Amino acid sequence: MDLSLDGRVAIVSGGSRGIGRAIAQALADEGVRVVLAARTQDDLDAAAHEIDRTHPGHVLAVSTDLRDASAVTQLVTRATDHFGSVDIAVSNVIGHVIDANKEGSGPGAGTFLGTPSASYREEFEHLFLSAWFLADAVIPQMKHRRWGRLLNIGSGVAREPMKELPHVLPNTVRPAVAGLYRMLAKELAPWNITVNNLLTGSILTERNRSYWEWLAAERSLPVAEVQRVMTDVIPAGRMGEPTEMAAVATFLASEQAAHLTGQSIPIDGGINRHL
Amino acid sequence: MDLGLSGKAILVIAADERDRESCSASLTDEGALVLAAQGPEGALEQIRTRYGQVDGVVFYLSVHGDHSVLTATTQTLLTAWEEVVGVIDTLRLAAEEMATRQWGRLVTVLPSEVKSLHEDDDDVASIAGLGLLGLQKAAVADVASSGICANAILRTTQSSPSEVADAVAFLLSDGAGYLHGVTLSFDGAQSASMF
Repeated sequence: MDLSLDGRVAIVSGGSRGIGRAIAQALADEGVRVVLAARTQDDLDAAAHEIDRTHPGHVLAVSTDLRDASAVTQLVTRATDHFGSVDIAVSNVIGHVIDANKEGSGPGAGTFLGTPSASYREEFEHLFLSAWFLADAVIPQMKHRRWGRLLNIGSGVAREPMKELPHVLPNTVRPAVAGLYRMLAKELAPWNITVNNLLTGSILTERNRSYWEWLAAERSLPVAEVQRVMTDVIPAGRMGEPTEMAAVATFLASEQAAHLTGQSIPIDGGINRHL
Repeated sequence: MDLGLSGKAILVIAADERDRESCSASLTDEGALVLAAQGPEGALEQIRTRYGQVDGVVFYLSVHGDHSVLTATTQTLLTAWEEVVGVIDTLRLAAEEMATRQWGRLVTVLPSEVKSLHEDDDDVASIAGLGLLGLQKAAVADVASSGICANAILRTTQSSPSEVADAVAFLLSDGAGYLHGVTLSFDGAQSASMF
């Protein structure tokens, strides 16, 4: 199917690894010029090199701290100067991590009773403000061209917290991000700008693998046992691939999905079955 | 119906005087020992000093902001979120104490915008409210087995404060002991949302 994305320009935050990288690759495969944004330059360069090999001149890597409003503005300016516009913005930022110095760490396993209030402030800056800054920086030019796609890579916990995985920080902030996206969807629909939120399930990323290792150590279980328990609750009977997240994101960015907006879509093999 | 609230120490935190008064009146009618505060700061210490313990916390979200998220500023959003951050320690410390007695109630009263996201709604209040709803649902996993119920009420500006207060009283009651992570829309059927 021709998704009519050839020549569009996308910013993909968190685009150097995991789901973000898969989305960047999938968009590039459809002819989209992609701007990868993340904090670690080496990872960015590696991801950009990979995309550039198959799509020469279609990728730009910009080291950015998405929590910094002025840095996000600079990112959008650079992307626009380089490729002429920003048509698609993918907000893909992880929140609190177990060990911020350890690459690949998963979300912090915090409980309500064990998490001080200051952490909720930090999580809001990570997850909410980063999404807000990116949207705020690209909306004016999308409105001007009367075309745009905003996508947030959220999590299934925004809709249904998991008792087995006590992540009180993202559980608290992600619903607010989902609300933000629904509000933006309502406001921006007249300009043909769609705004959607993907609810991630268990996806086979490096970050999740290291998270399962951490969880296994915490619970004195073999890693395979942790993975088995987590897989058992997935009706599809398997974990998802980053490319499967990317496929949905790419479709939502397409011309064909112009009437699909304000949605929170679980991509989790059937875990979340709310009506 | 006896709500089983006689002698229970309930902390009511509400910036609006009418909310404090109506909630206090409804709970006092049921024999509860009520301490009403304008904000969370120092409130837990006050109720413990006065009644020796806390069995329930009721929090009315008061944040107001720009109608549209498109015109909100980063500062507006941070200020709104600060009201969420400001009450979390009170809820958490109260729950720790409640767990020792295997009985407790946490009730948040939020604007109905949280669910409806209507055109004229207060987007900033919705963002703060959605955070509190998420927190309440996540807290359930942690506290439900300790006999602590965390639930929420959504109200519109047309909702009668005394009716909302009566619903709060019910959620604090023994009879509501199997309700965990529930959201009651007190909006006269204004919300057309199915779920």
